[in-house]
Amino acid sequence: MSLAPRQLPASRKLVLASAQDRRAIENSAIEHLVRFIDPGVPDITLFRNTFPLLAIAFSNETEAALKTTLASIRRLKTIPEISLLRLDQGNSERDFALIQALLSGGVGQLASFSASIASELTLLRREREALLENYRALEDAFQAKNWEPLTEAFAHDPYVDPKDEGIGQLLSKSFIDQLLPVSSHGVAGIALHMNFVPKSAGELCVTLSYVESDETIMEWIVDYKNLVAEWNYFSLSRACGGSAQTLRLRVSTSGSETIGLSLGYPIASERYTIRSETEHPDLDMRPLAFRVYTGVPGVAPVLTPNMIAPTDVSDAPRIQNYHLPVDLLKQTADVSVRTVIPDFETVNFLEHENALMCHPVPGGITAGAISGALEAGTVSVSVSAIIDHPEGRPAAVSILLAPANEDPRPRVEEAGRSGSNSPSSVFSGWRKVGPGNPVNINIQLDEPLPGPMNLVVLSGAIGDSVDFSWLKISDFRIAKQAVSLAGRGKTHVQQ
Amino acid sequence: MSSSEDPSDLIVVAMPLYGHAALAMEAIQSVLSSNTPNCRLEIVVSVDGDIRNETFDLLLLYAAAYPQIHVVFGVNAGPGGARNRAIDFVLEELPDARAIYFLDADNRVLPTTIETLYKALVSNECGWVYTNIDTFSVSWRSHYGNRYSRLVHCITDNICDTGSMISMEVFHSGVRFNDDRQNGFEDWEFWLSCIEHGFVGMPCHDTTFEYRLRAESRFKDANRDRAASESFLKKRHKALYQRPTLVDFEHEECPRYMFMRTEDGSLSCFTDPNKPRRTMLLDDLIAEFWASIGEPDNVHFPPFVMAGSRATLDLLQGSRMLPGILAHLESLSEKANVVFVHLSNDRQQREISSTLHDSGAQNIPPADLIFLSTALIRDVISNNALDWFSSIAADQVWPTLAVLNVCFPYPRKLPRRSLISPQQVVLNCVNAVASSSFRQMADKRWTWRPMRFMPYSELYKALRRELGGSPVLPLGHNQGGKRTAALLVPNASFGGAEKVIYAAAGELRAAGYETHLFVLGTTRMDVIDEFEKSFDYLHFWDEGIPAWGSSGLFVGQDFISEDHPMDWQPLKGLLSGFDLVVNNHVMAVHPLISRLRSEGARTACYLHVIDSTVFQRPAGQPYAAIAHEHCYDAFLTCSEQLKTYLHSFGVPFEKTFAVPNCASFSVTPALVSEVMSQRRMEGQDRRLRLLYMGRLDRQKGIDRLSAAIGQLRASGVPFEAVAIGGEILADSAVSWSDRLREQGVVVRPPVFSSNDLIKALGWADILVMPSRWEGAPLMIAEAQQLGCVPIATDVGAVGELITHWEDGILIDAPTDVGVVTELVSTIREVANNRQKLAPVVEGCLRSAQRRSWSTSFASFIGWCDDTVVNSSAVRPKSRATDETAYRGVVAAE
Repeated sequence: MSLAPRQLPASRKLVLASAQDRRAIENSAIEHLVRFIDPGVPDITLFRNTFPLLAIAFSNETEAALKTTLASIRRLKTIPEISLLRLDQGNSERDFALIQALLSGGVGQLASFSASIASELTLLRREREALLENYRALEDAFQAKNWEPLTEAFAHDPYVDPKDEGIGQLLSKSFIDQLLPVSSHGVAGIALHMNFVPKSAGELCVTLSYVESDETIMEWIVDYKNLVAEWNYFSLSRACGGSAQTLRLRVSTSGSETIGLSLGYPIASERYTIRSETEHPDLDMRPLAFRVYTGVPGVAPVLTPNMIAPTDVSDAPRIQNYHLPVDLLKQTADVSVRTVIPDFETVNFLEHENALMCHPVPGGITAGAISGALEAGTVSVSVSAIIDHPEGRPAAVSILLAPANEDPRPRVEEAGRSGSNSPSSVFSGWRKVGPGNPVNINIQLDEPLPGPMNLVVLSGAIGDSVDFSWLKISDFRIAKQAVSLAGRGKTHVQQ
Repeated sequence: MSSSEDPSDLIVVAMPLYGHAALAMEAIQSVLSSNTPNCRLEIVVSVDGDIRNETFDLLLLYAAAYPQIHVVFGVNAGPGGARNRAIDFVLEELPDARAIYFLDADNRVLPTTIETLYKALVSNECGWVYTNIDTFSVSWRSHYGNRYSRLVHCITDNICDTGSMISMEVFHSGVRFNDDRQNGFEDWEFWLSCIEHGFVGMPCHDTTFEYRLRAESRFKDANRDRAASESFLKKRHKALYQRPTLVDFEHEECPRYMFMRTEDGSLSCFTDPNKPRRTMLLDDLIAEFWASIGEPDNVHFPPFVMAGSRATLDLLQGSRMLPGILAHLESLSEKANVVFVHLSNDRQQREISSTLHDSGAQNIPPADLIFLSTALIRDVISNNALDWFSSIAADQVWPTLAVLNVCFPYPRKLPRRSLISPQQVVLNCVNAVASSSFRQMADKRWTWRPMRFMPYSELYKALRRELGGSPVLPLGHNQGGKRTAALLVPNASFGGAEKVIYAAAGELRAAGYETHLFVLGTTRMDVIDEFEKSFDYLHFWDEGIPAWGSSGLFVGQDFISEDHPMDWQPLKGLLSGFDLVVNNHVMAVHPLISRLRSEGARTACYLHVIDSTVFQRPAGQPYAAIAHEHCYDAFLTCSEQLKTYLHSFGVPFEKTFAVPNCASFSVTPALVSEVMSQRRMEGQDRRLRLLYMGRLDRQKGIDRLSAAIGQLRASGVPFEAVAIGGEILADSAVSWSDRLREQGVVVRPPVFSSNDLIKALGWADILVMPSRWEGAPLMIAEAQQLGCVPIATDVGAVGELITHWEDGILIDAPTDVGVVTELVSTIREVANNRQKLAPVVEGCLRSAQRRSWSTSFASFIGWCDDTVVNSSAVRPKSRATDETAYRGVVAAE
């Protein structure tokens, strides 16, 4: 449908005149603009495609009748006061030409211009709505200190029915659609489960789109070699914003071998089961196995490190955000520097809390080193610390990064000597911590680490007493920049 | 919509405009930006007397720039009126339009909205297509269900925004918006009109539109006065809100019952047992059961489950009691976990009785049918209580149990019984559901928009609330398009009042009505062959219905008021939705009559007699009825005398039909001739034969009879006497049976069959009726038709049935002594001179020939034909009867 602005349409009437004056107007330059009013009509209650800007009369009688008509038009409320122009019959050609030029040409020209302005204004209004909504969302997140980068909004686990034949062939010949059971608002990525990935050449094509507006949001075309068995995270380049809509995932493959895209448990909600143009017994009441995440785009979920960037932004840096593995924490070594050896363990792993205990002692620094904790590419480290006893004395806590394959004690000693509260690229600075009020300690690196480093946690006494200063350090979160694994695609999902 | 989508199809966006001058631009612009490669688009803006000149300027410029934009300026008429002006414009100026999409001037469409909705409209061949609602500015969203239900739309809320794509067929059929300003829900009202015209909607979740929501809106205003607005809707669409219509919707869209057949495990769903049932496979049952838990607003699962054999269901269907029994089962399932139904054959009576058993009941006879709620099955599965539940098929039943015994006359030929017990079939299904792989995901809702509808399986409760009754009689409109009549009696034995109402039902049925007998106050009825065909349905309910009550006094007479401490719910649930209700002495129903009438029923009250207390105060049913006079459209009386009496209490003559009573059984001319020739053959030499028939109590004047017999014996009058009847009321210290026997009277127990009545009346020369008060006893007409001369006290309307010494003899004396004296002298006179009786016998036969129930009820039936609205005729067109067969619906087996 073409909706380009045109000249003033012929059916629009801009001038009112009495039907008794019809002869004077017939065949004139303005005849197509005139709506004739029958003299017998006392009241005007309805106008169709009539926008009276002017009324004209050629006699006293028609002028009087028109005045009555114009008075009745006031009942319509919307139409502004209309000027009544008295013309001379037989001597009005110039008047007609003038009216025609002003109304037909002027209004048409103005309308054409205003149409383009209106179109632009509408877009601006829409953008303003989105900006205001987003501004508020950001402000709320800021106020709430809600910095959790990624949240799992929905998960449907893989399920293997012994009778499953696999839908690899189906994906190579056709496509499947999966509606996602979450609002699009804030969605940053989707994880799909593969029960096997072939080694030969081939591509998996995934398209994410809005159902209601039918817009494509993002597309991933991935070489099989860049996929791993189990979960693969398809990250969006920016989280879905604007109005909340339903998301549709369309998946297909190309290549000689088929891929083992996993299906989930059967569900009774038919609308959310896989749809395909080709029937397949595995698809009966089954959705895909998938997970949906909201939050910061470009951050992979902890347990799904294989992140795939969208096809058009696959070169952009990606951030992996994860917790330090428990196995590493278990191997924490006591690298304390102190003059007196206490008769209890000051550094140990708390089995059920996945945390480290780092009890301060007077006259020294208690330190635990986690060897090889930080991989190349790490851009930030953060931990949470608290005195885990209601009567515990406050203590000082910090973290530092130490080169791998090097004794960290000299750096621990140096940190103890400096007593600095100022953070650096390898030292968080000392923070005071007490019971009941956890503190966050973090190090932001200007550049990603070029190689692996050790992470050291430190504690020191404040004042004379360290009674019950059971300093617990937990929530070891690492952000690491990774090189993209996704290949650049060239074909769209089969249609 | 019946044709396929065509690229040249014209779709019109109609936009009422008032008060949104500054926002209309966005609405128009969103339409102009629509992506509609497969259809043409035009816009009609209907300005509703908007006071802003800015609106004029805006629309002038748009109309000047775009030929596809049309503008109608009109005086303020409200949103309904403005939309109607747009519709008229489309019909007159754009006659090739295929559909209209209504877009409010403050809302917006997405580029795909129009095209997607039109595709859905064409492919679904429905009246309109609607979307979920997502609002902006104030963010809110809601899921409007995966399927359309007229029942949901009528009784819960408006489930379709006006922002819907509507087929032009809707407007060609005359549907318009109501522009009454009292109507706060003009959009909801519009959809109800569509439903009335046989159109249905269809949801489309593949697109949406942008609904601007502000903190305050017209919709919020309307909701503040929701009760008044809903009342307006219901008054305007009365036909939609009647029980048969709503039950039909329920039957087609969210059936109340699932029936599991024992013979083959087949499954079917229904509400109205007379309508085609939706069959389903066990696989579907499992899927729907679990889906209804996770997505209760999208998927329906019947709230009640029953199992039995086909023979059982056929028997119940044939008994004409099935709808009422289903209501009983619903009620019992709320008192016990499981209900067992036992059927038995009884040729003399119909009866329903129930007993409740605690957990652990033993020695329960095998059930013919079992009934339970789906909620129990859900609990059993979620609590892993299958072992507990399985005991329903064991000797000791651990769920609490109700047993419903139903007896009625069976047909001669019975189908074979099933070899599988109903319990086993239910257990098989429940086990299959519990072990399904769907269980794993049952608690997860996949539809992400918040739920707006109530769960489908709860709709039967919403229906109860809507009708103000519980349980709701599961009967929709009858398939024959007949008017329906409910005839109410407090008991159903052999009383004259019951027989008259049976006769009335017979006449109504002959006149084309579907007739329902409601026995309210007892759960049994005697079988009377003569009236077996008077009723299409028989319903019983006694729980909580008092025979008499005194929560109010009217001219010193008791009546039951609305405040009476009784459960009105069952009565309302059973009686709602009939075209005609005839109350025959059911006192507890009077307070309900006004509500039934306001729902569309025509109401009549049948009165037979004014009773008398021991102090001779006039009393009885007429007074409670007169207290409710304005609720009744008509009164029926057995006599002109009672009609006049009612008039004296303010009941207009025109409102009252005096219906002369006739015999409760008919006799053929051959039989009359046989009886008369027998009388003639026996000649006049034998002793005079006296017959008394009726209760042996004070009202019937049994003491007078005894005294008269004594005097006749003492004076040596030759006669023999038979008294047939029982001491039912036992209002005397003496046994009248014994007393009469001592007086040489043969006393026999009551007889009820027409054959026994004919035998007794054919034997007797005289029927003696010394009653203290009567209405218009049927017995007089019955005696007359067999040439047995009635000698009766001139009480009540007896004088209207007997013309003195022409077709009977009247005893008219003010005192008991006077009555006895006159009775004795009359009997003596005819005993001594049998010739005197002969012309009276002939007169009896002549009178009997003149009488018939058809003649008696003719005026009343004529009134009914003129005034009783046939709700079945104005019901909305049913999808199930369309040639576009409702998916899954098959003919009832």
